[in-house]
Amino acid sequence: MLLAEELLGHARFLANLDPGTTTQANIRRAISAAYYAAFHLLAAEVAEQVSPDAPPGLRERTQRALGRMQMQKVAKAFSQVGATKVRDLPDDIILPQPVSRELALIGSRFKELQDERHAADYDVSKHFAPSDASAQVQKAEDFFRDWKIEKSSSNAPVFLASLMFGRHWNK
Amino acid sequence: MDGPNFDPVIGEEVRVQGQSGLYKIIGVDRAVVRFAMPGMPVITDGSNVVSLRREGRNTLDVIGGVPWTSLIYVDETRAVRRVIEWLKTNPDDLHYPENIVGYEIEARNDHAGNPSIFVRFLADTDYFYENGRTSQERIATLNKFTFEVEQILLGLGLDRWIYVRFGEVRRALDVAS
Repeated sequence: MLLAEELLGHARFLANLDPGTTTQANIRRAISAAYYAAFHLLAAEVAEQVSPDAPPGLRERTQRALGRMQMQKVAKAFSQVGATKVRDLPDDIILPQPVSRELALIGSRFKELQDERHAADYDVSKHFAPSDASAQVQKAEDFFRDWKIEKSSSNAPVFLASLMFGRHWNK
Repeated sequence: MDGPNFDPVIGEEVRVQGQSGLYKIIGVDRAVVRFAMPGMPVITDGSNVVSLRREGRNTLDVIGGVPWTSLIYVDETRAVRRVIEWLKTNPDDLHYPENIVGYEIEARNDHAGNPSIFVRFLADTDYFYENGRTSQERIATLNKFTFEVEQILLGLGLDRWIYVRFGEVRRALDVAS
């Protein structure tokens, strides 16, 4: 099983614990795992697109080179349904089709999951309810479902390449 | 159905393009359509202007005839708030869930330092749980709703990032108590 799928299963397991007895630690870990499931799903897809799988370890190293801030910016840029231009995409790269609902959901959910993950991991002043964990895990599950649809689209290679190279494109 | 109402309202704090200082709106005038025929120019009486009182030491400092288009609203969440008030009227295809009992809007930076606006819709705690478990169906409904709202807010073209979420209303009460 892929790491991304394992993390998603782990997030769901934690989110499904009895709301009456679960703890802040379980809820926060569920939110965090939901984000990392989405992160590793995209990271693996990016690495597969930009790097061969030999020699061993090359693709994994590529995956490690991804930056979460860059990914967040790209996710935001692709989060509007119907957009024909996205921020920071060079003028000579034209989106083959307007941003689909699935891709916009992927962009929107990624930035949401990331921001919520940050709060879950670091903000001790915030109280999380069991429903917060369920909401984030469901977003991650939708994210996987939407990616399955979107990954064969003509926009997908542009999106994946942007996640890796976006900030270097306008040099 | 009409779109959101972005008209100025008495009491709002504004700045004026090209002017220094902070003002409060004390009067609103609207242009009135006097004559409209298909294919002909619309003839109106009056214009969209406001009267303002300068905030601060001299409260008698009043200016009139300021065009709406030159106003810069101090409240950066204003447009978002207006859109949500409009959504509560269930416009077109978007259904405002009846279980939402309130909302909070906050302008602040997100975790990465991006200036953002956070919208949180609030529902009663009971709404989220069914037979001692979180209701996946209700959470799915709200997740879908927040995405639709985000899409509408993105259409405003604001300089801030938009985050739309939902949560349990009890949390707000906890904070208040």
